[in-house]
Amino acid sequence: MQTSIPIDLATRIPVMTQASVRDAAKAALDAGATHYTDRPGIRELREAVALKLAESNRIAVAPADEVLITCGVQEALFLALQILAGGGDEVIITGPALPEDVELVRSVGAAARIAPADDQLRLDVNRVEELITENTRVILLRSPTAVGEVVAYPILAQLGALVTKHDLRVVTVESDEALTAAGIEHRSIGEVDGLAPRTVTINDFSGAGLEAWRVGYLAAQRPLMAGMRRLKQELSICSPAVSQYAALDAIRRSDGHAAALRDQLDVRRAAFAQALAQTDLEYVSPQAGMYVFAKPAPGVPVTSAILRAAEARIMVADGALAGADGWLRLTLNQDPEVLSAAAFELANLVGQIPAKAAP
Amino acid sequence: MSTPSSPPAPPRTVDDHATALRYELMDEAAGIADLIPLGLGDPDLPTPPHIVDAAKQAIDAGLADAVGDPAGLFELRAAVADKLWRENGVPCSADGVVVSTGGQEGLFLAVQAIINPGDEILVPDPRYPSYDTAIRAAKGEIVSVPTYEEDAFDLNPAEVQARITPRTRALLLVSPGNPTAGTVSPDHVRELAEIAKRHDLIVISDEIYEKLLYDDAEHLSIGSLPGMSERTVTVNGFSKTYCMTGWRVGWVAGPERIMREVARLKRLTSACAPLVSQYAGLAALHGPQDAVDSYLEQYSRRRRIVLDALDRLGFTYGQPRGGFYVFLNAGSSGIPAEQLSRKLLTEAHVLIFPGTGFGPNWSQYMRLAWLAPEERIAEAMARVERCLAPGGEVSG
Repeated sequence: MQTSIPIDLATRIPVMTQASVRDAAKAALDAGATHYTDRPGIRELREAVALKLAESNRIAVAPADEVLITCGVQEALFLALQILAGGGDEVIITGPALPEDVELVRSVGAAARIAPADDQLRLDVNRVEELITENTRVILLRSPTAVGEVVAYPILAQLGALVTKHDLRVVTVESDEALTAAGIEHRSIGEVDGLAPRTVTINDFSGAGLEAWRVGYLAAQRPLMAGMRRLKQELSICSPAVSQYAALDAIRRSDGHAAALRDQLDVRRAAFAQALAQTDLEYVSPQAGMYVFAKPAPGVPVTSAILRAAEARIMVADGALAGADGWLRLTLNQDPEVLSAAAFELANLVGQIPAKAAP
Repeated sequence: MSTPSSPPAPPRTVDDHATALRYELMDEAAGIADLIPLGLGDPDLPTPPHIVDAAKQAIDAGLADAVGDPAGLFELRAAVADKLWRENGVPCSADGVVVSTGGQEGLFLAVQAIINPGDEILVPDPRYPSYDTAIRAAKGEIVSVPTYEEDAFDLNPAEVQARITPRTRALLLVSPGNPTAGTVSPDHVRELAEIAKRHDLIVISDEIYEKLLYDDAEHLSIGSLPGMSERTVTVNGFSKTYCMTGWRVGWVAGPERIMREVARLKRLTSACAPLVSQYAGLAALHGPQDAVDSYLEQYSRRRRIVLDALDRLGFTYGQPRGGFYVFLNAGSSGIPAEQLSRKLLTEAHVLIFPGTGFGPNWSQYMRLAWLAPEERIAEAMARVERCLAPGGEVSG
């Protein structure tokens, strides 16, 4: 069975920059925003970020010296790991671990220890605890995770207890927060009692389509912040001025654009999950983000599954891209009815060992 | 509630004194209403309008929405490769170029890609301190090569040769220099190339001020010399030439075997350079270059005002041959530079960085940047002269 039009479930959904953000950026350029800005970022943006963290995440930071505007999430993560971990140190990455996070930890000279997720791709605190040694310095967490789990507060509290007990730091990346499904509460580990002095919170404005503008932020209390702030200045001086003004517009307005995308993803996710539930495919339908994960039947390796799907003109990606080895990553990149049809077709293709499998 | 027992400060990779001092002075300066800032290397002049327009068009067209290749837009990398060949005689392909988030990040990435722990890298003294940050992050050994006021801070190949050991991996050339505004003369560049080949060194050539030359100064890119393109990594950007500091876009170019690692590190460090800024950079390379001539004319007039005032003050200096700084010797004032810097800031409301921000040996020197309108520079120099006159007092 072959569909006539290829169905792309492999590539990311492009998020266009909001019109108001574009206008704000152009207005800033007209007003001469072509020079270095304040090193930690323009003051208005730091204030807006501090306000957002207080209101949405229950994290209290001073805009003057506890918020740092960075060239996106990646630079923030680089700064945090470069300062908090070095040679001989161990960083525990909560699984599912993005391959690029593992590579980054290694590139700063630390050892990456991946705490495997459970069989439903959920963060497993027990596995984190097992990996803690006297050389552990940092726990690196994403919530929503690479597969879209919005880590529940009790789990964050358990992780937080480990951080305090073993005198660790936690670096948390929350950039898919804006794509959290309706009815699911996103919480931050930085709000856990006692964690504030130990937490670096990283986020960006990608819900407003600003990923390519390279602007994000990190927040941490002063003693943690000092080294990261200085390294940022020595690395890239400040973040791009025009991008900071774009971010200021994005954060000041209601997140209308992100909300529209989020609603669309919710509808698609529900339709896809409903269809998958009627098949024999094992799947995980997360609470955030733009992906759903499905597992080929035992005996069907992921690479074979990807090829079989491609032959039927359905493009799917390897879950390993999101740290979900053995799973397929399926982007919610189509209308609900197309996703439903694709679910049934995928089940036919990879859901069971074909009767006449090649030797 | 327990507090973290071992605070992760001080940072392991930051050159403490120099950086702290620079930012401390800037913080202090921020509170002074009639300040004339001659400290920071941020051109006061605007980015040329055609570059701003190109960026706005890219925004409107949605070109800035898509996250790109970590190495940068192909068109921009191709334009950089073309510029390097056409203007500098450096052979390079688009695959040998990585677009960075400013020249400083480019330098950081190049150093991480080239220097392994324990490698020695020869670097000029005095120098901009972020080089040290980059080298320390790579766990390399910094070997300072002195330059001298009486040589106008040209880099003497004999001083380089004398410091080469079996562990020497690389040589950092910064021409025109920061803070010295000295240039490495073409004859010296040729000699340094021979040394690099003889000892199998990589050369990192920071050429960010290449277009801003005075008098008869000439810029020779070391990567253009025979046998050098395979061992030279050139770092440059748009900030200084096109007054684009706030856009954060620059580039690194070199042999593909090194640049593949630079691209990998770029992806890990900051994903890719901002797209709007990359389109601005593309317009800068493709568009008219007359703005650069106009900037240079203005800088030349400002330079004259500054040097005349220094002559009246009895301060000596290495003749500034490129860039927009002068590294002046304030020894005749009898006041150490850090103290003098504070005095000028608090009494004359003029910010000039002390030389110790660029190396501990430069306690009599200061870096002055002529990045203010002519009349403000004249006013600044008049304030300095009044402040340092016997019994001198300054009123704002």
